[in-house]
Amino acid sequence: MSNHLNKCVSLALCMTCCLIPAAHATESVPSDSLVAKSGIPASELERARAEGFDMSRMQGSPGLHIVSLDKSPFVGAMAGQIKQEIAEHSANGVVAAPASEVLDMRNARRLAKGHVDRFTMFDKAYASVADIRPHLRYEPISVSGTILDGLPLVEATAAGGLKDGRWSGLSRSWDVAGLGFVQLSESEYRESGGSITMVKEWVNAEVNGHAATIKTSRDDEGVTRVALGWVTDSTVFRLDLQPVDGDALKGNQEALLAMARALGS
Amino acid sequence: MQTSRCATALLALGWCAEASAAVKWLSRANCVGGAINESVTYDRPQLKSHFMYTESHHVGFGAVGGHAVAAPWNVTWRSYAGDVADSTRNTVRGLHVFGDDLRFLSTQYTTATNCNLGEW
Repeated sequence: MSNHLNKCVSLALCMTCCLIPAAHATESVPSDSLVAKSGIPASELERARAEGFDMSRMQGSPGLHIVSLDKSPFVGAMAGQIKQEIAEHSANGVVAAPASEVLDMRNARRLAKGHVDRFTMFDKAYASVADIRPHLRYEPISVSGTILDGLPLVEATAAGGLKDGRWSGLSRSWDVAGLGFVQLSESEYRESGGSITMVKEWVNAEVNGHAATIKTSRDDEGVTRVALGWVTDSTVFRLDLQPVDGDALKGNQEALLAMARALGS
Repeated sequence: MQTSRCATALLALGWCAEASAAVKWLSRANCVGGAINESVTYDRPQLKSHFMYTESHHVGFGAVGGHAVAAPWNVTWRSYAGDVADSTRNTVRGLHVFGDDLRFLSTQYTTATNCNLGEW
């Protein structure tokens, strides 16, 4: 209860007060860190750090940063959790998770649609790339040459940042017979000067020369998810698979990697 | 072991779910009578929670200074930083920090001089 109260007080303070320049808040913040370049207040830095996230370690310069876990913004028990997951994934090829921890992408889509249907003006799922293209700042990567080529799109939704009425990314999903439910997400980050940080110890794959991370998770209810992410000098990509055969750990990962490597060809 | 992972996740305010990649971010300026200025980071349509932090800097046209508001670091599907009573004609600059499965961290920036009413 007191924690909740503290959070409410903290929220109220943050939402109503001007921010204290971060330079006054943290003496040891590197000059190129995000904190040094923004106005994150000392109280917020402390609160986040207590919850396992050291914002003073966030990179302020644009582009991709691959940093070791001990230099990443994850600290304390949060870093311990990541370390444990990496070890578990390396040993078993899968991270076991409690019930409902792994997102059921099919059901999530239906549930979310039911939720947003109450706000129909916000329900913006598109049936084709042609339909969503006018709302995007960039041409989506081609799926030609992959097993997705020619398959009917389940839906496409906008993602990323909004600028002048158009989005920097999108998410597309397909049902692939024999493999499972596939979602491809991409988001351009270079134009706005954004930065991406990857944990070095999680880099366990490559996609066309780009560092990638692949992770299979399975929860106690049997919901399995294979997630592959990689970052180019302009775009963050992610491929997610909810496989038909959750036990085919290696096969599912290989299928996802093959799909990723054939994108844009 | 799974219990301990969820116990650890209390550090993330109950975050114990696989994240998705459909995060969006935007800023809006001078909305609804010119008084609402805001920056938002959110996940829709999936409404999945991520750890997020959002800052919104509001600077009046022709001014040098300005003020900022922030949504605290939190685990949520929508991180909102804004105010509703600044009738100055503003430029809004947003800072959006969010995570993805504990493996990617994104820092993104937005700028707005109008309301971007097509989104919420």
